[in-house]
Amino acid sequence: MNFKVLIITLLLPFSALAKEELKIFTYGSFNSDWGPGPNIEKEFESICNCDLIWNTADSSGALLSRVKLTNNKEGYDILLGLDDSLVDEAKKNDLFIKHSVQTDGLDIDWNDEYFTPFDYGYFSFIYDSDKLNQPPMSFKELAERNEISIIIMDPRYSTPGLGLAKWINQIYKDEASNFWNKIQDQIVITSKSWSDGYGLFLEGESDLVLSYTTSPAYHSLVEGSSQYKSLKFEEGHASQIEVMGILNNASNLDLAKSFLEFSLTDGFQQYIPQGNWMYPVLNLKESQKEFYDAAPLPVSLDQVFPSSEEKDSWIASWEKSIIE
Amino acid sequence: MNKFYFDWGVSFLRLPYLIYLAFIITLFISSLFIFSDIKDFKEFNLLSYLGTIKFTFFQAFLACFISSIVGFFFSLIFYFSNKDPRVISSFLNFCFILPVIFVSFGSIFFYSSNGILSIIFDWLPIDYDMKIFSLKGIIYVTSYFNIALNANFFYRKLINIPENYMKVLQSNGIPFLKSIRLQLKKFIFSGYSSVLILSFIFCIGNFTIVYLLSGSPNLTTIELAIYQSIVFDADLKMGILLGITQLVIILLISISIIGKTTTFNTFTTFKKSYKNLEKSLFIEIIFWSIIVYFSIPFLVLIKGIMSFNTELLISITFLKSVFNSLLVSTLSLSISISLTLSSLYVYRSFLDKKSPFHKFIFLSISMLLFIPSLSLSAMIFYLNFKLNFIFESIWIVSIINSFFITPIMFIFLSGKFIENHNFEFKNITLLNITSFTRLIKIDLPKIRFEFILVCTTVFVLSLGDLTSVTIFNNSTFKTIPLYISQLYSNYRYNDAFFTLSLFIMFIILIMYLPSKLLKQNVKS
Repeated sequence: MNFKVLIITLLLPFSALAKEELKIFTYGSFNSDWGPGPNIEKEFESICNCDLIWNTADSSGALLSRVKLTNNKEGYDILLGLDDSLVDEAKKNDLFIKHSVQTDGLDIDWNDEYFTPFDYGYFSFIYDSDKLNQPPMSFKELAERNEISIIIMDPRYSTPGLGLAKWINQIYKDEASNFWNKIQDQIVITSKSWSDGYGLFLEGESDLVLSYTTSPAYHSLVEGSSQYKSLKFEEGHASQIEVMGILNNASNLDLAKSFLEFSLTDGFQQYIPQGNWMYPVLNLKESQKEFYDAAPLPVSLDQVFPSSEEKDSWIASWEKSIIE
Repeated sequence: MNKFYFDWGVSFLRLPYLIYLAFIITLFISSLFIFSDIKDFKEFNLLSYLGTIKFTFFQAFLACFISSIVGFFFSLIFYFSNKDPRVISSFLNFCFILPVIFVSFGSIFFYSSNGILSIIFDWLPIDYDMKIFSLKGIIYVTSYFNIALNANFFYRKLINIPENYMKVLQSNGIPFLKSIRLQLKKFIFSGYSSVLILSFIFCIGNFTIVYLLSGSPNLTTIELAIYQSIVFDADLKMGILLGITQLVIILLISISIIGKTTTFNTFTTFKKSYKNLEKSLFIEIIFWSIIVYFSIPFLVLIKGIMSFNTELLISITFLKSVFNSLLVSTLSLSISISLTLSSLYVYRSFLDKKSPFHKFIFLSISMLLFIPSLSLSAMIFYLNFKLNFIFESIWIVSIINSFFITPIMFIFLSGKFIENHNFEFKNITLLNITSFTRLIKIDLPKIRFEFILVCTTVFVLSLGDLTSVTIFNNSTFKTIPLYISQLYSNYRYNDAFFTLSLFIMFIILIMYLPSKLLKQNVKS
């Protein structure tokens, strides 16, 4: 017998045992030791007979940039962690394929053929109630009270930063630039990422920080501290929906589709509230009661899915105020 | 008849340098291809980066200016303090090569709104208004390193003032400070242009400091803009173009400063004559204040030790980061050693033959100092993309690190390596000694002290690097500085400070052992 054939015949049973791999590209905190990734990995691997391989980038914006830059030559199957503001740009670059996953019966209105949602939240400002006794109740009051210092995120590089630009534009529309001008002196730090900015707020660098209405739940449920609270603005709060999609040159389409379906089940969603500290897209108000109690849903503004041009105009409003 | 003789040692010694040249040329040519599909040059709106370019040079000039003045003042205090020059010089060297991430976080720990200084002010009680995440913070941390560099340079000059000079001054009753202004200026400032350039390059390329302390989009340097172009805007072209812009401006400024200097004499010995200066309480107080100033970042060690965390020590992420850091530093050092020795060999062989090509070798290596590390990262990223990602991140980061430590090694070793080369050349020709034997038997023993010191220094520099790894990291590849920065970003301050403390203690150990070894060698 040919020697090569013999070797291949001997190795064949081992190759049959090799598991399929699903490569997911996400932002760092999702798959950190303290994020939901490790638990989700265990749950999915217990039902798929596959290996789930994570790779990470610094932020949502960095995720999209990386696959744009490389045309996904790095071979990821799923990109997890874009937000609704980046969906249009992602579609325009022809990087994703349609998913055909049912998205009925979710806690949010969703209808998109390329992406499925996995969590959502509302932007808000967080304050330390031990230091700020009379928090502002509206954007108008915030701009009038010059003594209040704020940390925001750079809208060019951070999705919460872009979320604030969206929020201000939803409320002030053509007057957005003027509003940015009014609060410019109060902004003490414009951080590159949400985690940088939030960390600096906890270090005492400002009175308010741009974050989510769910942030106080982390302090309350993990640290047992109730001093951090979310502002409730009369104008309402803008929302953010985080999504995932199957990349164009995914090597394992069936497995990728199974993961998207899995993401809309309890097995995935149960780890979102106290892992990613966002609202799950399934209604888990009964099983996650303590989370919803600590992070009640605020008054919501209409959901907006901006085009790339709208997104650029929000950023331009902000940039104009910096230059001025 | 002449017998054909092929010296394998020569080819072996030239090989790393030739590989390096080929790699650099390939890299530059492939980077030019990225611009091949340009239809309209207006798409490069470099003018929109005018503010960034202005800020980059403004902060660099400011930090250089402050560092020169403060450094000179510190050197005078050190000179008048009558302390052991070796201890002072080693201390300043140590401060200069401390990891940027350590000094940055140490300064945050001391100066931030919840920092030690704020607590002291609260207790007094005085309003505290220092914002570390600002231009002040960037200049403060950048200057920390440059003050150490400048002070060390001036101090070595002061210590080496010839004794007869001092005697003449004393006999004429000219006060020392007046004599500096009138007569010693030329001696003290000779060779300062190289320090100024080194200082300026450091200030321009201080990515980590601006990355950690920039609190506003207005405080963006070119290095940070390159990072943002690559990581967030998927715009490699702009990253490379910004890098070229920075390179051109640095080169122009450097050429105007340096003139025709081609070697740096960095290992001056302590000859002299500092003795018998009168001790003064005033000098003593300022001396210890300066020591306190340089020790401020070390206060973070107290916080770190108090935050001891066994779980973190055995966590996979921590252990992987330690392993990656050591591997990257070892690889970088190995690449640098072979490239440096090879370049030095080629450099000296041209000198032996009195060929002007030695200048080309010097330039081809020292130009690496001027290329922004993130631009080089952009170029390598593009090349790797074209080669379907054949290089793993660990190799890319090691290569980039080695490219930045090689010129340092080359510059520091070149003086000693070429010492007496004419005399040696004549003798080895007469004795028919091969190049390889010359390297092993003559060169390496000759430079061994400097070699060990420089290897330690560049190993530490590579260990503390947080530039290219910000672009090439992934979930399996993190280094310790990146791990610390991510812990801090995720407001796990105690863990960040604990890891930082372990890291700096390890670095102190690395720096201590070779100096101990050298001392024993000297005694024996």
